[in-house]
Amino acid sequence: MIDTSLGLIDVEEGIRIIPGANTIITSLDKLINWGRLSSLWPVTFGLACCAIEMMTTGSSHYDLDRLGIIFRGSPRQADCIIIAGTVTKKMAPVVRKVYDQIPEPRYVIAMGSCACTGNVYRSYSVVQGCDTFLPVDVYIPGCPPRPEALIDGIIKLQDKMRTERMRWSPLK
Amino acid sequence: MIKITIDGIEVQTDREITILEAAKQVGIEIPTLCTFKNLSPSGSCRMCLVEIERLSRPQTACTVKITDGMVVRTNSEAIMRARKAVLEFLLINHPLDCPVCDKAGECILQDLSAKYGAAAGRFKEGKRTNPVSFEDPVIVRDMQRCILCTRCVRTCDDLQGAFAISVINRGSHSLIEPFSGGRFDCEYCGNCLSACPVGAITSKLHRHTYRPWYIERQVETICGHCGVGCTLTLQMRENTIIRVIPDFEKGLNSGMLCVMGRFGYDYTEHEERLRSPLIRKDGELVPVSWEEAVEFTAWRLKELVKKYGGGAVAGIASGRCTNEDNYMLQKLIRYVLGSNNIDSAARLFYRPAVSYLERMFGQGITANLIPGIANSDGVFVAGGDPTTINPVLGIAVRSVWKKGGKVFVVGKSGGLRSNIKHELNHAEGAGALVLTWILAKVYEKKNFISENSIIDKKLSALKVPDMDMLVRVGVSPEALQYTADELVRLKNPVVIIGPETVLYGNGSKNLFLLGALNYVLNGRLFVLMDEPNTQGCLDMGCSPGVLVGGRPVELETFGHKMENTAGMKTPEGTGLNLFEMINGANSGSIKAMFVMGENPVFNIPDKKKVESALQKLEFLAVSDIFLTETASLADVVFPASAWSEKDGTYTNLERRLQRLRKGTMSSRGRADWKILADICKALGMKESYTDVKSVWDEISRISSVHSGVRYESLIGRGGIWPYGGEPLRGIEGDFEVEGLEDMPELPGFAQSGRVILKEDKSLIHSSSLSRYSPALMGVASEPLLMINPVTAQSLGLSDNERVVITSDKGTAVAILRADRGMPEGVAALSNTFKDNGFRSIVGYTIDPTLKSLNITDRVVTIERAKQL
Amino acid sequence: MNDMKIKDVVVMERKEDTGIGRFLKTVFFVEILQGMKLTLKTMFTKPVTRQYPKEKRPAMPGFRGLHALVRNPETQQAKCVGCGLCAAVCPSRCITIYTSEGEKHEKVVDRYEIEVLRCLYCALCVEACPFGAVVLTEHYEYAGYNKADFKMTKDKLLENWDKYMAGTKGEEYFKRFWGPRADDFKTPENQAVFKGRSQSKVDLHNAE
Repeated sequence: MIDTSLGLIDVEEGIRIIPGANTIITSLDKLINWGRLSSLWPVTFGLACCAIEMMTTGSSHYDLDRLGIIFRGSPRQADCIIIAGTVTKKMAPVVRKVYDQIPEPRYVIAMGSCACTGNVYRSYSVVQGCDTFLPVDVYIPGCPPRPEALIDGIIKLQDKMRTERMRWSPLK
Repeated sequence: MIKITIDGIEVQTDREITILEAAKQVGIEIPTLCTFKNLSPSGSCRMCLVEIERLSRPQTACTVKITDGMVVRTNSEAIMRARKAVLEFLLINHPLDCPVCDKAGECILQDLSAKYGAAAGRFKEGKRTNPVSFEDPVIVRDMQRCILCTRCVRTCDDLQGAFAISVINRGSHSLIEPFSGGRFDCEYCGNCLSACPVGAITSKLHRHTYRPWYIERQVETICGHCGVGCTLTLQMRENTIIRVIPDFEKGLNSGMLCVMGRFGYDYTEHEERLRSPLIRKDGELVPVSWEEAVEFTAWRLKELVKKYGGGAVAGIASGRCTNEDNYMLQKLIRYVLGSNNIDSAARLFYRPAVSYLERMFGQGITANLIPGIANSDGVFVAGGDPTTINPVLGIAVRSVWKKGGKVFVVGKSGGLRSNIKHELNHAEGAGALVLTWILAKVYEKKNFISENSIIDKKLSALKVPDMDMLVRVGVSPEALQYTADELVRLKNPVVIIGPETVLYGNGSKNLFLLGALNYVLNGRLFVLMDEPNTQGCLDMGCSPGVLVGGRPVELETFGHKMENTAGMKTPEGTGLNLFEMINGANSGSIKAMFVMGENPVFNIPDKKKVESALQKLEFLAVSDIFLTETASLADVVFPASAWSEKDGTYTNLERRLQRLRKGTMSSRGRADWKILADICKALGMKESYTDVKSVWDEISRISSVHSGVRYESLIGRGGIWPYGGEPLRGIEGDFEVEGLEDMPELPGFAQSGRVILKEDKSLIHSSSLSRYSPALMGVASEPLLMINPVTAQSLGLSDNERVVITSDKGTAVAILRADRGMPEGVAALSNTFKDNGFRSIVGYTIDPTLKSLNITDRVVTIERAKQL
Repeated sequence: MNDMKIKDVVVMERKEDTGIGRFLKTVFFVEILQGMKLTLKTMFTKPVTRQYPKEKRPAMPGFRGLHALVRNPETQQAKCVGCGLCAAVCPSRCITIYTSEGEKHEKVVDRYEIEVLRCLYCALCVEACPFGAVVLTEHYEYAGYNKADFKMTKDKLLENWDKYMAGTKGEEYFKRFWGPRADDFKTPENQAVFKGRSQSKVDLHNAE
């Protein structure tokens, strides 16, 4: 029998426990967002020196796996894309093609100055920031950013995902 | 043939040049501080020391001429040591305030210090302290930083000829100081500023905002202030002009600028600039969209033409707009609306003067080169001061004097005062008298045999006044005799004609006298032009009598050509000139008017009459950059783009076609040609223009003088008249001279207490446009009444007093300034300042022969202004 | 050369585990155990993984992170005089400075902006600054969602100084790591002196 006299206990905002029933009540948004952010699988797109730092972040010293983040080689299995490095105008369509293959919901992390703005390469051949052709969610400054900075960026992306609403619904 | 060896490189040359020049030609850089383009060498900075074999000590490369067999070394250890030592000496007193110095980044001393390394000196004593002068409105003088290379002094003396600054004191106390003490109070040309190698003389306009690496773009363009057409470089940061500098390599001004060109660029940033089109709704001008304004204008014009016929429409063009703008306006008025009523403010002086002289001698008689003036051995100026109307042309006149040539000025000598031997400052209205005497004397002495029977006949019909009369108008016999004697001796003379010859009556006679004098002397004629494109405005057919290319409307063949090449049918009749348009508007025969870049209310005398005429119009459209006196009467106002914001071409007074280039990208307005093309399009014009080039292509197809001139080919100094054709001089035709056989009258002297008013062209201001330039207003912020000190005293007025000038037509307030150059009983007021312009308080009649302006009602009373 | 041997290498003798030895190795997973030994060994060592958000490794001294403008402790204003050398030297041109004339004709820095996302953290601006007025702090965790947030204004940059370089930390940095050392600021106006390029073969002081 469920003891209803105690009422619901607020664990945190929007999450409540029914005491004794071993039941948690929360919104579908929260549940789905929690699920998504807890196993964020990025497809890597290493284009230049930033990729080296990204690899470091993935390996044992920083170990992204412990955050549920597992690099994927295929966009079709991924949730987000990390653009790490200088996006040249020749590479931009490829980046876009990879992004297009990621199933919704998808996220973009621009890692490093080149991906964010083009950096020193104010050149005819370099895209002046990948936000010119992708909807960037998180910008990570640095040239290249330290692995910590990348993790910080990913955590910021997770924070962003946590606050999303109705991203699962076709109605939106 | 001279052979020398510089650093092991053998050099051969024919000319006796300096070591510095020779080294430069073989690519060896010798550092200098005191050498500057166009300046004679001075050898004062000792930076250019070189070793010459068989000479015991180093020599200055900038002053030593090469001789055969000379062996020069510029990079030996001793020389390096000498350079370092020279820099160390200079830095004893030069402050190390580079971080806040405006010159840092383009400072020669800084560059050399970095290169030869001597910033840390061994001098333990303190640096010299000289005051920094902020007293000038546009120039900051920081004598701490001065290295006494005297480049500024030499520029001022040798090139500008203003003699305003000098080195004062001795030894380490030396500094550059204006003669006026403290404040410059000079012509403010700022040429010393571009000569200064360090940050001692800098511009106040971009003080502390400028760094060479802040410049995002720079554009080479043409100055938009006067008819000389100096080449300038605009330097921009984020769409605002941060600085204007001259170009030493290109352009006819060879690095010289005047106060207007150098400092008067900031009017384009003025906050009163129009930002959107305005339409009068319920008596108020309200902002509307471009489409609405264009369509409304087109609809109104169409309606009025339908109702009253094409003859009821008139257009006023402007010498401040480009050729393309003027072309589009005449296209709108002539070929779209079907009216020949198009004219411009060139009607006031330039157009009648030039066309009169062209009728005497043939088309293109005034197309002479400004740099060529410097090669002349004598200049005769009448009717205006070239150093204020066309300052850079004035510099050329001064350079004639510098080279030993003679300068003669009839009338007020103004900026040429130090270059003439005798004043010929006659009483007001006696110009023709003096000119007749000089011409008659020269004609007699020269034993001139004319090829032109018409001029000959007229010359012999002249009545020569006697000396008594001339003395009575205040001219000394010696001065006249000297002038006549010297004029006869000239081999290569130049005659410069200013606006005063026409503006105050006797126009045709004055012009005939000057034209004939030039003919007798076999000289070159220049007509001063105060707006940058007055000549182009005429070439584009913005005058009732002529079509594009300056061809008379009467010539039917040309009309046919227009119809055949462009499918444009020229309307019949000659059309009304500017004054007839005003009268027509007053009487009701003109119903609609399009005014482009002109301010008739302010610039045509008799303000009340012009104002009421414009108010009577059923429709008045104005395109301008500011809401001028005229624009505030309009039904539709289009914001135009200013000089620095559009592409196009200007034709200067020597008929050089030069390209104006877009510098700042402003969203405030559109180019006039674009506005007009949109209206034409809305009225059913077939052609569509994408850019200035497409307009130019049409001009060069139609116009006979511009035929074959491609827009792209107008680079550097541009194209010079005749643009790929034979000069059209030498056409003989009869012309009329009013009062030729009459003895010139003695002017009626003014009654006591009344003074005759003249128009004064201030050097600082470029007619009414520059009142929007904060820099130029900073230099001359108040209207000045120039008056002879004796006359001022007799009126009981003293210098710097605020006075009220009252004429039959109105009043103006100005600051009285005593000027010895003015003849007695005459005062001069400029036509620049709002509500206090010269032309607003005088009346006018039309000269019957020239159809030009004849300013009347000039007798005024001057009283002390009541204290506020 | 035609008579070269077809086989250059000939196996003369091959010593292989055969028979019982090989059998035992296979049965008792000797090779796998040898590998697993290493794995087992690391199980008893301290893990190398840094638990980043919880445990932060301090940046090495001299690390080049977020920019800051040095606050003059005496005037509480920025030390920057607006000479623009940092903007001139910046390879990615991410520094924009707007200066104007103040009331006493002095140079006033109106705007000092760094577009952080353009920066490549070369610290040339720090080296070029004759007043030691611009620094790179150790802060690096400033990823963000919005590009406009990365445009550092003068106030933000001064705030960065207070946040990340307060106390003796900033001084320490100038003494140890950055271009014009603290010793160089010894002229009366506290301005670093450019000592000249040593390209000249002639040394004036030892020219005897």
